[in-house]
Amino acid sequence: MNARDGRRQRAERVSGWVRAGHANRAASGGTRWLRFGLTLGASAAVSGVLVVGMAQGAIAASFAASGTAFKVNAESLDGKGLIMYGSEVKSSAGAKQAATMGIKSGKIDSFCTGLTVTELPLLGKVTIGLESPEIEGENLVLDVGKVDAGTLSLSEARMGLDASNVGGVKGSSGLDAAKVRAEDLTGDTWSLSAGTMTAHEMTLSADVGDEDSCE
Amino acid sequence: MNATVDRCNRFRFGFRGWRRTRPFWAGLFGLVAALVILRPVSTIDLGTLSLTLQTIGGMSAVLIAVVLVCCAIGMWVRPEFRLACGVVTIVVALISLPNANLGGFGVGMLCGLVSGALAIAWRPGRNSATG
Repeated sequence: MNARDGRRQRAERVSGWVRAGHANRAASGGTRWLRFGLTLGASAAVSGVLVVGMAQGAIAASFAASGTAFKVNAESLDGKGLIMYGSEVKSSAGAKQAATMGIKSGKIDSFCTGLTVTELPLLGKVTIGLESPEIEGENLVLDVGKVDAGTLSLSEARMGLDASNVGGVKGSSGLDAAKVRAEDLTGDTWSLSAGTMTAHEMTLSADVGDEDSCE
Repeated sequence: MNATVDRCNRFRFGFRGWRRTRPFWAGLFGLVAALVILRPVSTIDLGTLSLTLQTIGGMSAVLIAVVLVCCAIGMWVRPEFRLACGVVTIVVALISLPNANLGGFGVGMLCGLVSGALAIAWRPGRNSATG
């Protein structure tokens, strides 16, 4: 096929489109709306099953948040393999002092958190609330600003370690413990990331205003 | 002057005919779905809160968006493959729900489902070569 044939073929194809554009609507392609509705209905049903599966924790969905402190409340935390050291969190609002906590595997009961999103256009302050009666996670890393606990028990704890022994920067101080249990936790957290995290019966809500939905 | 009008009309009717001979809206919805799902790979800033996808979520968002784009373009250039492209689009859009930041916060997944359903429901016109 030489170049002239190619040009002619292209021109014929365009002429075909122009003819189809002029032709009667009934002669052109179209959508069978019944089939469209059935297909869309079936796939929407499957997505509904997926949403239910995610809400029950059968299918895991994960994301990480950072940039602003969010309040965390929990009734109790049970963890194995705790490390902790002082660190610095870089966020869009500048560097912040924080304590980095790592937990090898842990379970949190009655977890609740509120993220306040400031100055959203038109709406003002918006709070995103996340609640779950039970969260299980592995390789959790939290950067916390402040934590209050009713009771805290550590077993096989070693305090005053050099932070470089537990993953931090050399020179600052760190601790590790084989087991940790804390009750009635409240705190300000900068970021939370998890290797795997499963939230059972999770509810996510967004409200206008900066009230903490957890209290 | 007349020649310009002619060229405009030729383009207008040509584009209309091109749309009528393929599942045009299905492909367009597929491209929109891909864009919406790909968007959260970069960071979204809401005030001082920024949501960032982790690496695995980000990679699957890229993968899903690329497959959606391929299917959308496939629907346009090869309308005869619309059934396969439509099925793949629906399956991938459903997978995006748990794997790509809730399917672009639901919007991307919905666009993908509409795209796939439109492609499956499309039928060529009479006297058309595309079976």
